[in-house]
Amino acid sequence: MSGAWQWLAEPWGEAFMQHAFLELALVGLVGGWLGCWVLLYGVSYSAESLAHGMFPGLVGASLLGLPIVAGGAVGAGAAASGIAALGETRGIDRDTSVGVVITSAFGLGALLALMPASPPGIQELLFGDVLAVSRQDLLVTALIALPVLGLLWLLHARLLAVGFDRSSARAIGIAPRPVELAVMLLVAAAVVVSVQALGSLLVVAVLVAPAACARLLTHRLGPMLWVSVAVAIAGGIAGLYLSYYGGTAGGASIALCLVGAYLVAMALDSALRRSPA
Amino acid sequence: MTLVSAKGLALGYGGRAVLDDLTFTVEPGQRLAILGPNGGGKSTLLRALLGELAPLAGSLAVAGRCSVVPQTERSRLDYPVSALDVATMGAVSRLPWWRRPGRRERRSALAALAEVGLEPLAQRSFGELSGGQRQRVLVARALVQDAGIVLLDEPFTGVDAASADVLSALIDRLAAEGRGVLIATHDVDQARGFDRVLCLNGRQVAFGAPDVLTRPVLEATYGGAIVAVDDGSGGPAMGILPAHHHDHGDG
Repeated sequence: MSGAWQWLAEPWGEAFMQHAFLELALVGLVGGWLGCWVLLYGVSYSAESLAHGMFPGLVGASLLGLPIVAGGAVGAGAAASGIAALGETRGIDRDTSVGVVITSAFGLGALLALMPASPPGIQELLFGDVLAVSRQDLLVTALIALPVLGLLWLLHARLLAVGFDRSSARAIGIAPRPVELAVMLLVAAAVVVSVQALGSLLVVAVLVAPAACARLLTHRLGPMLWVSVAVAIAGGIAGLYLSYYGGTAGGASIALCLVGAYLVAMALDSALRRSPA
Repeated sequence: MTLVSAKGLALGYGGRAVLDDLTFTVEPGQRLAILGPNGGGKSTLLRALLGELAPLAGSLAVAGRCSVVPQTERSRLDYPVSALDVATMGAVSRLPWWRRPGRRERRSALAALAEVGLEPLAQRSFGELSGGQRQRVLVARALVQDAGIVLLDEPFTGVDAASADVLSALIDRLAAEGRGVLIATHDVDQARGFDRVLCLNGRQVAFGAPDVLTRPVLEATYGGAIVAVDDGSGGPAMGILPAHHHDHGDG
């Protein structure tokens, strides 16, 4: 018994693990909550594209020693303009233009990040390094995460109404476009929040997997939000254990645990459906 | 005070009129049936009344708030909301963007659900309700909006007989309370029971008391797709063969 307890407690004696936990709690709150809207608005693919499109901006900001938020904003803006411009070109449909721009942007970011001249640690932007989170990183994460959570709280009723039926949102006096734009801006902010822990490649795991898991287990939005946040944080903790004892990469371990939680929920759901009520 | 007044109104998209020559009014307490084939311009008129579409020509004056009760088959049945959540949405536009609906808004949503006879089902998932019950929840949402003008977009489509009766009574009550009620419908017999009818087919074919619904007017409205139906009552009844019944786009 004491052995198991020691096994569970041992990692948290280390300062880097405490920092990692707090970072993942913030990431889980933002990702788990916002992820429900990503899912209900059907913008998972857009969220992934946005995460990849912002990547060169994030790398550029790190190389120049600028705040990562500014880099993310420039990266997202450039990718969006590129998609809009290509989308106007004859013979290229929107899907293709998204594919072309996002792949190019991500390639450019990876090229910059993996240059021999790039300072060590910049590769973290690709896969994340939650175990290297400093006190200052935590502060930056909190400064972005808290306004995101505040906006999610305030905009709740509008998000609900527009997601319910876009065309009839107008009929009840709510313009859908600003609300949809807000969702994408919040996703961009969530990517910046989560990139240190999970990296650009794995950020979408925390935006999609916990919400998808919660969707299977609940039928009302309120419980769905709570379950999603709980799964996101629990997945983060499980990933930390896996990384600590298994010596595996932090971001990848967390992403794996999040997706694992979804698979478990799916099995549970189908078992419940099969068994007579 | 006239609630809706259209004079020589033309509506359309990209400068091309899809609906021309509209001149009609809606007074408080009136029920106006809007008849016409799919693609005849009903949805275009509803959009203009909501202020989403500016007139290409003529004028359209709308006094007060407009609320639309959309076709229920367009709503998402897998969306994780209760009937009460949906009714409460009607209060959102009256609040500033940073305010969440509170106890007061939920109370008025519950009162509206009681008015449409669905208070016992307030906590039921919207998707679990029958088509007619969903339609009534959407009417409750319009009541919460407290609009002076209520537009119903084919409210009787896919609704069982019991719910249709409740809906009809609701429409009567909305009008009795002094609202203007506009009902887009395919049902000519039902339209005869309302105060005014407006027949559209790319233009205004007729407007007035239900006795304007003569055979020539109906033929002009529906392009001749009318069949005589023997309803067993001895008198001739008319039915309509909607040309594209599954087209719910810009019907």
